[in-house]
Amino acid sequence: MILVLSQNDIEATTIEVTDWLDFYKADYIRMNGDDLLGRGAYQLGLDTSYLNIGTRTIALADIGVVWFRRWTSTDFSSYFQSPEQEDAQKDINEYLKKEYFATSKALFHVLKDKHWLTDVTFSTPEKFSLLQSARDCGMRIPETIICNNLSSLLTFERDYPNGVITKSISDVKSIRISGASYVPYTARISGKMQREETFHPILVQENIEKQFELRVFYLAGEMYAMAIFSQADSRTAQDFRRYNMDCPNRVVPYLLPEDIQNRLKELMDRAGLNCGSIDLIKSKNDDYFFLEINPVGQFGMVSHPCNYQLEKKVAQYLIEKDDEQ
Amino acid sequence: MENEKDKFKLYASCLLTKGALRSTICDVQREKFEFIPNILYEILTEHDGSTIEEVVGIYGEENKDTIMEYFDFLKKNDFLFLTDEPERFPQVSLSTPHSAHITNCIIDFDRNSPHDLASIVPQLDALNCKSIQVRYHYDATIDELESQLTAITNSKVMSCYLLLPYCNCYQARDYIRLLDIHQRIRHITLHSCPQDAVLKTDDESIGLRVSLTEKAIDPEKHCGDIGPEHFRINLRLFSESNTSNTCLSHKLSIDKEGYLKNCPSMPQQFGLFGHLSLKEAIEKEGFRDYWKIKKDDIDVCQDCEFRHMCTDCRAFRSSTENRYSKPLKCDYDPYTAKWGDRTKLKKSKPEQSEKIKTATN
Repeated sequence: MILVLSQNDIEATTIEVTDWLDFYKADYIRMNGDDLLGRGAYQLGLDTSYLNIGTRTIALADIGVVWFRRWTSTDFSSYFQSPEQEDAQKDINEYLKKEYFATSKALFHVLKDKHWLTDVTFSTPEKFSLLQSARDCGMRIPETIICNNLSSLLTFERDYPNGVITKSISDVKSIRISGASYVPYTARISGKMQREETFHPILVQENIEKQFELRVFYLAGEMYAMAIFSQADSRTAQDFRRYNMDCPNRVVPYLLPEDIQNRLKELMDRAGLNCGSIDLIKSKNDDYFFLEINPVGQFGMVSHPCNYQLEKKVAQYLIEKDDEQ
Repeated sequence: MENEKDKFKLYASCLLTKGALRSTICDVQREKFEFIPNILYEILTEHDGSTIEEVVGIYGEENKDTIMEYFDFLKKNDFLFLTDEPERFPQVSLSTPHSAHITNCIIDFDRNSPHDLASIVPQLDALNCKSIQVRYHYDATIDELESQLTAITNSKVMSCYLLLPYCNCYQARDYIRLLDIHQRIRHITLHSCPQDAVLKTDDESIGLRVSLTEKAIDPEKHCGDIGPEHFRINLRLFSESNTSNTCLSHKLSIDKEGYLKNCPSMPQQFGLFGHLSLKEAIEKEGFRDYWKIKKDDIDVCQDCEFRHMCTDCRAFRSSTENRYSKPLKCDYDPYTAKWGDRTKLKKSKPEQSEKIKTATN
């Protein structure tokens, strides 16, 4: 049986993949992270042999493969409500959130010997360690520092005539301001604009002059690349996620050179990942620069415009692995 | 370095269609198209990945100005880019696998129909069908709709489109309530409404989900219209159009008498609902024959530059004997690149008046 781990709400990629699982009459069950918060009774132990998911009871031994797609979508800040005691509400919710994630880890532990598509243990790689591994695998990477002071920033940017950029050190987090949601994006930065001598730590990276960006979906050694021509539009030149809806960036299928594919495969192996979205830049000097890996990134945005049928390929992979068990 | 990047390549999202007299570039990403001369079609298909100088070399210096004009036009529309590695930019595949045996189903009802949604929908689920259109040939009440559509609530049918006659006994709030209970209803079309009919509401979004038309629609006859107002430019349609019939492929219909068909307007039937399962019907010999008839197989359409942005109709054809004949309700002639009077007339008609009115206090 295939265990699909996803999140509540409509998650388009999960639906498209499970449509294929339905089509092939595969044996699967979907569990959402928030099921652990639901009313369905469950119990986990080191010798657990059954899992309760919704109204179903599944023998652990029957699960052949686990697809880790997403997990929770619960907003813990308002999970427990106590309007009279706001301090307590905040602390209690932080604690409940930690308890929830520890429970999730216990569940993942129970499943640890299964074959995973995106092993959850490696699903949040750290940026520096990935950059290090990428360089060790022979990929070029943009020079990168984390700093908290103006003098470091000014010294660093002096070396790069094309300027420097800053981006999130950890995963991006959306920030709500008056009901609207904002997501941090990659932006040009210059020490000349800063007034403070020291500031909250930021990641600063050499700006690479791009021909185009590449988003590569990686599935068990196969690579499906899409070139994103974000350079023509000043809005998207630093970060294609600042989508221009009126005139979207050109996105087309791309074939990566074999040596780059080999290096990326080695990098994914080292990172313990068999699936994920890899971001690259093809520079004006014809070099391929590695930027980052998002193990649970959206791949519909690569699959649909390039007609790669990735949802079908993921479903086929899961069925094949489940059959092998 | 820069000057080496001089081989031209159409973006893979800009797709060419050659017609008898002229060709089109379908920009499936930005959902628009432009006409190009057939000679430019030839340049872009036969010499894709060459340099512009090489093209001038082939067509002769005397044509250089025209060729340069062509490329200026392509650059201006952002259809093309220059690269030194054209071999790394493959075409988009035009294959269209479906994760469903049936992707869409039309279900007709009149007062005496023997079938009902409660027994149809579970069978559609088994075929992975996600979209249905339900057409009422009588003035079904909202209570009826509400109770019948509970069949889709926990089904795989994610979108439902309704067509029924207008009834002056209902206000906007009645439709809003229905749409609220059944969120999978994407759109309701109310036809045969009086000229002065309007739906007044505070809810501006209802206009996107309900539309009123004065036209009296007989669902079985009012179908198969072909014309620019039905053109859609996207990769899904373009690729499906290259491989199968864009109207009938993966479609199943149940007419008002309960007969299982490709389309309610077609005479052939494959059994009566209830006497055999939907799965058995679609596996019957002949059921999928029309699925494979693509635009490149159809008379006249195969020479039309619009064929991969257009719709098709096999129910109303210019020849009843020839299943490959041109759709009856199309009056475009790709050999002269001219539309007939019917389309010209439609174009000159003013837009229909807005019939959903936001109430002002």
